[in-house]
Amino acid sequence: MKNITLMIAYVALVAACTQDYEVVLPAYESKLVVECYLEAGKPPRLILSESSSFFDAPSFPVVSGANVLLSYDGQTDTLVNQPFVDTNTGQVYNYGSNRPLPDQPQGDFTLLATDAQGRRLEAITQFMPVVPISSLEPTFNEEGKAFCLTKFADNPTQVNYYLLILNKGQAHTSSVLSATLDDNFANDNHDIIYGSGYNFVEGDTLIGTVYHLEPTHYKFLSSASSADAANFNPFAVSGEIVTNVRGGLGIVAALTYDRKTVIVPAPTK
Amino acid sequence: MKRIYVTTFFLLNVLGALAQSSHQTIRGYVLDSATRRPLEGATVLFDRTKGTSTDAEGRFTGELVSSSSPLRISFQGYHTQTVVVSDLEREVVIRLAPKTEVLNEVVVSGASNRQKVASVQMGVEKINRETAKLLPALFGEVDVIKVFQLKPGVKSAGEGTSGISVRGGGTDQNLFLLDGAPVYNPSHLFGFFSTFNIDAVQEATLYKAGFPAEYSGRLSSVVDVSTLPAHDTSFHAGAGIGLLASRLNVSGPIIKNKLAYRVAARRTYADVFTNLINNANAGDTSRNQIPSYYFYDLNARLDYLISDKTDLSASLYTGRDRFQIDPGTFDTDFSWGNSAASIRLNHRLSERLQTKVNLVFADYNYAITSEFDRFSFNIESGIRDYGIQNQYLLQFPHHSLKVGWDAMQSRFSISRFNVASSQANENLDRGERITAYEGGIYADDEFDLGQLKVNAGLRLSGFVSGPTRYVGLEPRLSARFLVNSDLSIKANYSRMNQYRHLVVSSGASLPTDIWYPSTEKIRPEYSDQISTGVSYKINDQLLVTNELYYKWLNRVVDYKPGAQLFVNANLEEEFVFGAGRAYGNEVYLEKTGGRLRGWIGYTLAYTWRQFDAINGGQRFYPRYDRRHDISVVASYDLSKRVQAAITWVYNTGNAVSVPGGRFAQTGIPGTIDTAEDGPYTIVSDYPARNNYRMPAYHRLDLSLVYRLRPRRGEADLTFGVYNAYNRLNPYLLSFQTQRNAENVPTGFKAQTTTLFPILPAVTYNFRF
Repeated sequence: MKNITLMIAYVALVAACTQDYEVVLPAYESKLVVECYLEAGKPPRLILSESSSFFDAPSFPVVSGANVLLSYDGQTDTLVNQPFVDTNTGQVYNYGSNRPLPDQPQGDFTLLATDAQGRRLEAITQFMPVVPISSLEPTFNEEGKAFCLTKFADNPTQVNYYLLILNKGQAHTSSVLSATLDDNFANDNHDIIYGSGYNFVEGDTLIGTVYHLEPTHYKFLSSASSADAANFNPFAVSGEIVTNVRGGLGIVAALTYDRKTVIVPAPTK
Repeated sequence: MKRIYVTTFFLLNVLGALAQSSHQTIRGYVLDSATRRPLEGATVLFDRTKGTSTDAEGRFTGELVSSSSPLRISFQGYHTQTVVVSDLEREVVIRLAPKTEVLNEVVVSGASNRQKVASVQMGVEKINRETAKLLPALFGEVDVIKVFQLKPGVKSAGEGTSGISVRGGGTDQNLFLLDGAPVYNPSHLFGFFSTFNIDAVQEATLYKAGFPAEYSGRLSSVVDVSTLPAHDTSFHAGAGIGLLASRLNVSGPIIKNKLAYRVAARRTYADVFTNLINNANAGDTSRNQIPSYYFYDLNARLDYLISDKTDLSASLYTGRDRFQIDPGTFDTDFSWGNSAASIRLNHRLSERLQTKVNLVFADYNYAITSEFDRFSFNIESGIRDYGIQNQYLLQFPHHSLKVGWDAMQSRFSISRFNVASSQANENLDRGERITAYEGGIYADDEFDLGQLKVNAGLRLSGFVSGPTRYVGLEPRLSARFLVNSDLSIKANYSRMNQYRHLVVSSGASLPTDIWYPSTEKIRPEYSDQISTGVSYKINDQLLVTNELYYKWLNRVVDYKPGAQLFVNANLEEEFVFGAGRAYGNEVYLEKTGGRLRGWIGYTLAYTWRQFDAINGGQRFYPRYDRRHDISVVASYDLSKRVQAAITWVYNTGNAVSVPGGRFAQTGIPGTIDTAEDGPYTIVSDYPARNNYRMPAYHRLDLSLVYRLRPRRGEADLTFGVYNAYNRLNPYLLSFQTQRNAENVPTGFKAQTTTLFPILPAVTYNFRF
């Protein structure tokens, strides 16, 4: 699809000239924004911020002093407002709890956040079953560069959504491939096989991660991507973003994933 | 509705009785002597005081005072002819010879002002090729569909595009027909050019309301394009050389006065230059390869005059756009195109009864193919039709009855996605194939009661797709009250059903838009439209009309927010259904004769849509909702060899979505490409769909046609200037995130992109 968009954009803009333009917008009422990724066996943490008027100066306006509750399995955990950085990933959070989630989480996980201004958001998420990666297979071309085929099995009895990530070096560094997929990509053997470009060379550490997504998480990712593309595509429709957050913006998702690491071997002669 | 039904079939019964009455009438046809095409609007005088005009089929009917009275037939651009009809003749065929070697006066519309006032039809626009060729055109490429955009109630889908929105309808709600065969995507180059090559087009008729019962299938308009018949007496050829494309057409007899052919072709040649540049840059890694693009059209037609009562014509169109990108890793080829073919038999069974049978074929598909290593990928969608249409036309002095039926089989190929690999277990083949059947029977009768003229019609349509069956009644009623010979009041009502759906979320028609049949989940769309108006002939050259309309759009379709449109074997799950309204007023002043000709149109229009799943269930304006729309078209004969023309358009800006706010998203650790997006991405928050109005659009185009004097045949040079005062009309409004060296956002700004600043063009045309 990126190729198509590029082609269309090329035609549309081939003779184009651009100029700055002042958009006068009505006053924007900022909304609570949450970004929360729950993982089994790990303590919950999240970033609570707020949205800004589009042309305001850039910032990351976090929200302090909010009451944030996570309910699951008949209990409610309060997430404390305490900014911290995950040294493994470099990710910043401003609310968290020390109580880890169950190793085998089941049922609904409900997040409720209320800030000092009385703004309130709520989201419900569930853990999906893990979908194991069958293989992670680098294949070389004649120039000594390799693409990677990731293969995993799709359960044909249900509708499934996935996020496939390939990283080079470390799992938490910038991705070289990020693809949202659904079971339309499954072949007659119920396998999903997806390839990267020629991004790898001998000796690279190749890390593949397959996230099994909830439908709303998948829709959030794909609609956010569409909204981004719509900005520069004269043919695109409005970028309305689908989310499971009621009363605010962002996403609350339970992450279930399988990860495999491969050291790219020398090309076979 | 019941009353209309009863009325129509009552008329069927009484017409037989009427046929027995003994009027001393004469009927006839007026045709072009070279092409045998009917001449609409020709004046037929029965004596020096009584007269009539020919209709769209070139027909006329009148009463002779005496058998010795001559008929005098005249038509602009043709030699006037006088014929004396013998006592035995009840029907005559008159062939008018076109005037040549002078600059023909262009008729800005097919019918005379008197005929327009007297006609029961309203909401109809006709464009002939002569009018289209005179007006300024983008890149000099003449396009009949773009001329329609200059008429009231017809709006362009976007700058320079041939897509249209008719009376608030979507670009998916227009039925395009070429000699009766549907054309599903009538555009090239993402809409900048239509598929209708001016060298092959005789005339195009756009119905905005008051649809005849023979038409159905789309909610908002029918564009019926007829191709130019072949010359059956002598060989003719013509060509045009333009900046983007060249055209060639030939026509002539195979058997003189019996069998004739016409072939017209067009091709762009930008790819020739881009390939030269790419070859010159081959091996230079600092330069990207320029994508290669071209489109072509081919129209062919055979006309066979079997007898004076029977003729057969076969028409074929095929055209394709092709885009190629060869960046070295992914070799991608994106092509799309239409084919349309028809074989039409016209036969006059008796003086009063004639029939026509039309076999049609239509095909539209797009395909994106790509290759990578051991894999080849193919994404495609398409639709293929096989159909038959049969109509009987029965004429009486005060009645014209049409009865007919049509049937079509359609094969939909939807979101086909195929991956082929040298390793069989890596192959993938997904998508849907659906076969559906659509048909209808109809009758309409136009009866003249003196001051009051009524056209009442009824169509029964049906659609079958697997186990799903739909049937719909589509009543049509038009009436005209002639206050006097110069002033008439008209009104009409139409219902239209649409059984096949093209979801065009963007407002512009794209080659990748997918046609989808009605299913159990996707019920047929339907519209009801009422309109009323007045037509006033100020004098023989000036006509003013005013039309008011209100249209209900029901079960219209759109996509869910975030819908997955590609590689989706269950595309119908992505559809949502809603309602819409469109209403407005169209004022039109037209000058059809003299050295200065043209028209001024103004439309005040409103249209909105409402879907439970879009925009929080609130109404929103579609992109093509434009409150004010003005068009001024004028041509002036500077001399017999030189004509100048201008067009000026003004309309309210498009309704577009702009983000009111934004938020930062860090994403799942490791899932963001930080090299491209920085430490976090910016996600826009759109408060509502199409919540912002672009600046008003206006543009002035100029053209000058200079007729040369070659030794043989005719030739002209056409100079044109598109956007003469260089108005930088915004085509796209985009929002930029400014970033520093670490890719951290530092500010935001909006930018507009203008596609076409001032653009001169020159075209050389010749014909003999």
